[in-house]
This record gives sequence, structure tokens and C-alpha cells, in this order.
Amino acid sequence: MFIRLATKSLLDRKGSVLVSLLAMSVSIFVLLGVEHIRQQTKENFSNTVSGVDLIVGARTGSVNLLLYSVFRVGNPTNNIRWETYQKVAASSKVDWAIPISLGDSHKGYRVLGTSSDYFKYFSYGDKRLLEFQNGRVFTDLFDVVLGSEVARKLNYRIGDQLVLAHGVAATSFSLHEDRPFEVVGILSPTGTPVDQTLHVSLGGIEAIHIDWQHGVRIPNASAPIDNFDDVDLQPKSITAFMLGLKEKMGTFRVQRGINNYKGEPLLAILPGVALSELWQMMGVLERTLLLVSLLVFLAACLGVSAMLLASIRERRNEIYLLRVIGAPPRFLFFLIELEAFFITLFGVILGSLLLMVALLFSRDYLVETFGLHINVSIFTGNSIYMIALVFIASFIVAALPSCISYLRASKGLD
Amino acid sequence: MTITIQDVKYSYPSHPERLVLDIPSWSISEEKKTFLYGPSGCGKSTLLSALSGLIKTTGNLMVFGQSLSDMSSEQRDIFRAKNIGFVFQQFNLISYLNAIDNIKLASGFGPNHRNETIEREIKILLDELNISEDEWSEPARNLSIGQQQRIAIARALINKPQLLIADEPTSSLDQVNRDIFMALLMSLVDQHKITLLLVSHDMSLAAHFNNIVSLDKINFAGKHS
Repeated sequence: MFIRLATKSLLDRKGSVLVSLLAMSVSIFVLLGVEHIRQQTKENFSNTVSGVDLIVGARTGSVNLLLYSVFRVGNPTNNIRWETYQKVAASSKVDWAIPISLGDSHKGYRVLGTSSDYFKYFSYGDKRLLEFQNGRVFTDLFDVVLGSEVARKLNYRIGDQLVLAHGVAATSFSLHEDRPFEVVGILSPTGTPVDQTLHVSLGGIEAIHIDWQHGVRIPNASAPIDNFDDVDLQPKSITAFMLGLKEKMGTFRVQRGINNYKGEPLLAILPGVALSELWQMMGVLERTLLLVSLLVFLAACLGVSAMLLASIRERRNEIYLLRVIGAPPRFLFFLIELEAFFITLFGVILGSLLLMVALLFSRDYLVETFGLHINVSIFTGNSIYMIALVFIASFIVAALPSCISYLRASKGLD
Repeated sequence: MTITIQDVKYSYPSHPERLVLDIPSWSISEEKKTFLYGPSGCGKSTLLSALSGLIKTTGNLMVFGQSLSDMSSEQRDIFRAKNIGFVFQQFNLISYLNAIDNIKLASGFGPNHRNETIEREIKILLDELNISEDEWSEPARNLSIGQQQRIAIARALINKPQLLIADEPTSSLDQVNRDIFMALLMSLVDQHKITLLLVSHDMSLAAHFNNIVSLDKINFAGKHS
């Protein structure tokens, strides 16, 4: 009868209860939404690269190296010599090495020059290797393997030809028009910057830059080369390289060795540590978002509290009647708390449903615009913990009207 | 004795200097039908609150031999639910609950709250009070004042109280309904052997009672000065 009384009482005040419920639902939507997207973004972030023990580039900041080598954001400060790469890669402690050469683009998407080992060793998420949706690894000089988003957005299929542009600007007038690439493979979606990358061989990168200097074609250069068999296409320098070590225990020693390399200034970073540093830099934004959503939730809680306080005045006769038939003051306390619990419960259900629907409909947009793969299922350990906190907060906020009701009943004022 | 009062005094916390109740001595014997009257503001409602244990007075206030003055708030709540039934002039029922739920709610605080046959008992009681079955499930606010007053009697009787307190129960009723209500109330009081204390300013009701008391005569609050 206690539960029935609380539900009927709420139904009797449909108008004010509905407004409070909507405010609570919106606040839960914002609170859980911010938390879920934050969590998923962080997960996406840390899933970008896995299984790579060290990333090596020219000496710069660790975050900068991570950003340009993994996230294809920003530009490298310098290149490293090919001999240096070969020397490190030949070390007995190194299991595999993937060279990376950046600097060209295609319609705003970055081009990554690398070796076929990239497809063999580079992994993301929970050590998942790259998979081909269509086609195969590049074997010829002018073969290109597309990330899933590049293929989808630019509508490329196997066999299509495309031209790379010099530089990384979205619109470039320095095109390598004389040496088009043929699409030979399209990767499956990964939810990482790989989806937005075109992969070519290092030789391919070298080949398109023959007759080029400082980003422009050399005027009056010799006639275009058609046969590259006799041309030395070994790169002189690369942007960075990734390393997989035979023994993980020796990672720090190898890192120290590379950082102290006398041949040229190098920086070796542990991707996990650099990712954490990068995430910490975004901590202010993360905390601000959480604070805003907490304030929205607090406002909704105060709204519920104000509604319940007003209801005590409205229900003066009802409360008196309950006292007369024998309801103790604690009954009134818990009745008001139960009403607040119901509003919170339905607010959580409605807010969560709204969030799931919103995520379902915005999933493609988030992938296309931000490259974020957000899971529609919002119930994780973290969100359940947050929902539990929501219930505790609503209990505390409802305690004010509940206590007023309790005290008035105890003093015989109602 | 059903009620025994000795040196009972009470003033509201907001005006501690002004006594509202000052009753040196008063009693009601069992199964008596007492009609208590007096002008507005003479302390009728305060006396009923004191008798039901909603407010705590000084002095000795005994109901069925038990001193309400010595009971804790919780004990007074249990005592009230178990022994005293109430009917008021208005706001007798929770407007959004139907007749059955209103009565069941009251039974929930009484001694038989775990009784599985309570719903059957409620229906028998509603039948006795000539409330048609169609009205049982109607929210109280959709019923006439007369129907609400009859359901209020059922609610007051569900816990089989020994004392029934009625505060101006006929004020909102017309002449016909008032007579029907009084006849019904008296027959139920006789049938269940209940002590009745009815407060009203309508002296025409006095004829139904065997004990007529003017509150002015027993309450000396404000008279000593």
C-alpha cells in the first residue's frame, strides 16, 4: 500500500511531476552521455595503437611524436636517416620494425609510406591486426591500400586510380599527376586514424618524388621515368618507425639506448605512456564537461526537491489525515523519499533510453565527423556506479522536504 | 472510563504564553455517546488532537486506562491507529485513492494489517454502509460529500476502534443527508459498542446523544485572568 500510495500521489500531480521527470531525464541524459562519450573516446584513444613497444622519431616532444606518427596530426620536426633506422631494426633485441614516411596527402587524407610489415605487425584495440575488406597488400611500386573511410567517403573501389598531392593541405596544387596509384586493397574499419590513411610503399613515395625538390617539380627536369627497375628507390630518410621487441622486459633499456644514440638526435617513446600524457592534457576539458553535467544534474535534483517541498504545502490535509489514521512521522519521511526515488528511477530509465536512441542515430555521424566509434550500450561499470551516485544524490536532496514533513508531523503541526 | 482528564494544559509552541486547553477534570464513560459543543475557537479541535495523541499535553490524559502523556510519539501513533476512529467535516479521504484503498490504507496502520481477509472485510463494511460496488473503485474526489462521509465511517471502523471521534461530520451535508448520516452513525456505534465523541456547533444533533457537554464549562483556558 505504501508503494501504491506514492505512485498514485505522483500520478495525481501529473503536471509538476512530469516537468520534474523531464528535467531529471535530461540531466541523466547529459550526465551519462558525457561520461559515456568520455569513456569511449578514451577507449578509442588507447585502442589506436597496441602491440607496439616503442615509436622512434626525430627528437621532439613525446606527445608530438605520438600525434604525427599515430594520429596523423601535426608535422614532424625532422626526419631520421634511413641508416639509423636500419641499424636499430637490425638490433638483436628488435623483433620487427615498421618504417613510416609522411608528408603527402590525397584530398585531405594523409598518405603513409611504409613497408608490407605494417600489415603484418601493426595492431590496434586489443592487439587486433589490420584486416582487408577487399584486395591485398601493396606489392607494386604504385599500389595503394586505402583505409575504410577513405574508400567509403571518396567512393574508391579496387582497380581505381588516384593521384597523390605533395604536402598535407586539404587542397593542394602540387600533384604527382604523372605517377598515379592504383587501389589494390581496402582495409576493414578500425575506428582509428588508419581508416583515414592511404598506405603506399616507401619505394612509391621515393618514386613520385624523383624530379622534385622542396615540394615542387624541378623545372626542365628530364623526361618522366617509366621504368623504375634500375632506379635506386631506397629512401634516404623516413619520418619515424615503430618497434616490436623480442623481450618486453628490455623495453626501457632499448628506449634509453635509442635516446642516447650518438649518430643523430632521436626520441623513443612508449605509446601507452605518451597516450596517457596526451589524455591528461585533455583532462581540463574532460573535467569541465563533467562539471557542467553535474551542475545540470544538481539543478534537476533541486527542481525535484522544490516540487516536493511545494507538494507538502499542497498536501497538508492529506498528511494530517495520514497522521490521524496512525501514520508515524517516518512513514511520511519515506513516502516523500519514495516519490523522489520514483522520479529518479523513471528519470534514469527515460534518460538512458534517450541516450541510447541518440547514440544509435548519431553513430554514423560520430564516426564520419570525429572518427569516434561509440558503443550504443551505455551500461558499463562506470555508468552503473554513476547511476548509483545519482540515486544517493536524489535521496540526499529529497531529505530536505522529507525532514520538514517528518519534523512537522513529530511536532503535531500538521 | 474511556477518557479521563486531570489538569490537562496545552498551548501552541508559537504562542507558549496563551493556553488553549486548561481542563482540571473531565471524563467519559464507556459506550457513552457524548455531544461536545462550543463556539469557534474554544479549543474543540485542540482537545480532539490531544485525545488522539497528535499533540502532547501536560497533566494526565488517560484513554482506556492508558496515559497518553507517558507514551512516546510512536506509541501514541500505534495506540491511535488501534483504538480510535475519526470522521471529519471534510478531507476525510485521500482524494486520488478509491474507497477500498482509502480504507486499506487505514487498516495498514491498525492491528490487523497483515490480515489476508481485509479486502473482504472492507467490502462487507462498504455494503453495510450502502455504498454501491460501482463506487468502490472510483477516486474519492469523484464521489459526493455524502458518499465520502459514509466511506469515512467505514475507514474509521475498519480497525474496530473502541472510541470514535467525529469532528463536525455533518457540517457539509444537507438536512436529508445529515439525518441519514446520523442514523447510520448511531446504529453502527450501537452495533459495534463504540464510545462516540461528536463535536459540533449544530445543537439540533444533541437529541441523538445521552451525554451533552459544553466545552466552555470544562475548559478554563483564558478564563482565569
